[in-house]
Amino acid sequence: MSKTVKDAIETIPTDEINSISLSLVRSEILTKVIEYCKKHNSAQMSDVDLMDWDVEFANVHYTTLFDLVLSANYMNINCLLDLVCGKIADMIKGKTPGEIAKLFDIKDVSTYEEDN
Amino acid sequence: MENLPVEVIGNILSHLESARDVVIASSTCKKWREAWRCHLHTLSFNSCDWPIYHELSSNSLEILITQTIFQTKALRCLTISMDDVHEFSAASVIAWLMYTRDTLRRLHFYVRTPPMFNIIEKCGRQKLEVLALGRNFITRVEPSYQKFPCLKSLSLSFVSISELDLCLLLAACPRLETLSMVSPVIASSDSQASMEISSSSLKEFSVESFGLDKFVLEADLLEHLHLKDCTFEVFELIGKGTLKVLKVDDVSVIHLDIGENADNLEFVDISNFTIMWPKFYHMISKASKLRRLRLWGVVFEDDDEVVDLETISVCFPQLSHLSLSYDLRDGVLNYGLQGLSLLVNVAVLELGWTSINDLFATWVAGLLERCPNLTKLIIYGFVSEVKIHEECQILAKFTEFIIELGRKYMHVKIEFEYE
Repeated sequence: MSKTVKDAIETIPTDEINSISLSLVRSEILTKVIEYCKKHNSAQMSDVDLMDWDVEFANVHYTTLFDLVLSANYMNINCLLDLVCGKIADMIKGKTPGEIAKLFDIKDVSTYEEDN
Repeated sequence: MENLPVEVIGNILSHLESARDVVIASSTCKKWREAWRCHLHTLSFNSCDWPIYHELSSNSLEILITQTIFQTKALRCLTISMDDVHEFSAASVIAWLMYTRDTLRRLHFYVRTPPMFNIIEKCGRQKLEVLALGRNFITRVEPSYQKFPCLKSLSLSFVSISELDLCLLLAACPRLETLSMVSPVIASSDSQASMEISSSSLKEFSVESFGLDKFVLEADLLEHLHLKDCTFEVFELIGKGTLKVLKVDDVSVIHLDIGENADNLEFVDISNFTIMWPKFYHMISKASKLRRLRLWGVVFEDDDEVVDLETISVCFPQLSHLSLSYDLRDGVLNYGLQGLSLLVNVAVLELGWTSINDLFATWVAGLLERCPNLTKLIIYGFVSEVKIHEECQILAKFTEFIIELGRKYMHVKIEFEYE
């Protein structure tokens, strides 16, 4: 499911593989990512149940969401990336820029200039 | 948040879709503005998103859309869907299409345009993968230079096109997998009101709200066929027996022909239809791989006809999901439950009543007996607003009966859905 891992496996000769380095991913986040991949690969749950599971899975604090986004981006797991980006987008929807900056603790809020 | 690369922010903003939400969110900080300008891939102008869209004139709306689109750089998916009030000028639409031509993969365009404006000519044909049009005119297709080499999905809603142009358009899409038509306005050259289209790559075809004397579809790779709210005298599918899913909903057709090989059928869903059982049975009887069968709100042409479980269990040994709802008649009910063979693989049973009575209860019990490995039973019912005392009594009696059944079949989860 991870294109990064797949590419690594395909490029390194098989007898040299002992471990694949994922230096940017913390272990707690990697655990969650593995949980997601296992669930989606198992094909045990129906589509509807899997969607419900995804909703629960993404129901975490925004710092975890950001970590998941970074990991999914780095490991190139498109479905997880879509799920988490969608969740963050839901949190942004309907809020003013000020509210968004406050919610995500964004410091670099420059004054709103130019066109638009 | 500081660690997120700007492309990822662009991805997040793209999930907002609605242009207004994106523009507002993008003004949060400098990084987000950059993300919106350079990395936004999906943008949507949908009249459902913002009430102000209804209040603006078509002209002002065109300017607003132009200003917004022209600030982005890498749009891959653009949706413009406005109510019937608006009509956009050719010049504006051409400007948007030209601007996004190099990156656009998906275009959803549901807005009225002037009758002589041919959108097929103007959209970026080389990279487009999904094209959905609504309320437009396709006046001319030139197959020699208008090709859509990457187009996988084409959807036409309330679009005016001639039969010839539709055939040419399909020929211009060598990789087309999904074709969907809703209320097409087809001008035919002959007066016979018949149409024949073909596509060697098509996997899914659906048509809704359409009527014709004869419709012939030639598609060797077709897997999904979906007809809804249509009237045909003849509907014929010419293929190589690859059909997996057949859905017919509220259709009036005298002769439905899906070819001799129904061997690969996995899901058959027929609703609001008049079935001639022998003909229907002949059509699907060889579908030994069938997993789901749904006959809902169907009427049998012959009063004596009924769906008998013996035939179903013999013909469809792999059936795992059975949904039935039709008028039960006293004389034929027992005939339908006759026989001894069991539906061993059926795990989900959905039964609906049109009018609650003892027959239905008997039928439910009979079916439960024949499905030894059932895990879920869903009862669908219709409860009228004004209930007379007698109806309440019948409903109460039925509820008691189901509770008893529930005790007998403890491994089955029973659910109710009442309208």
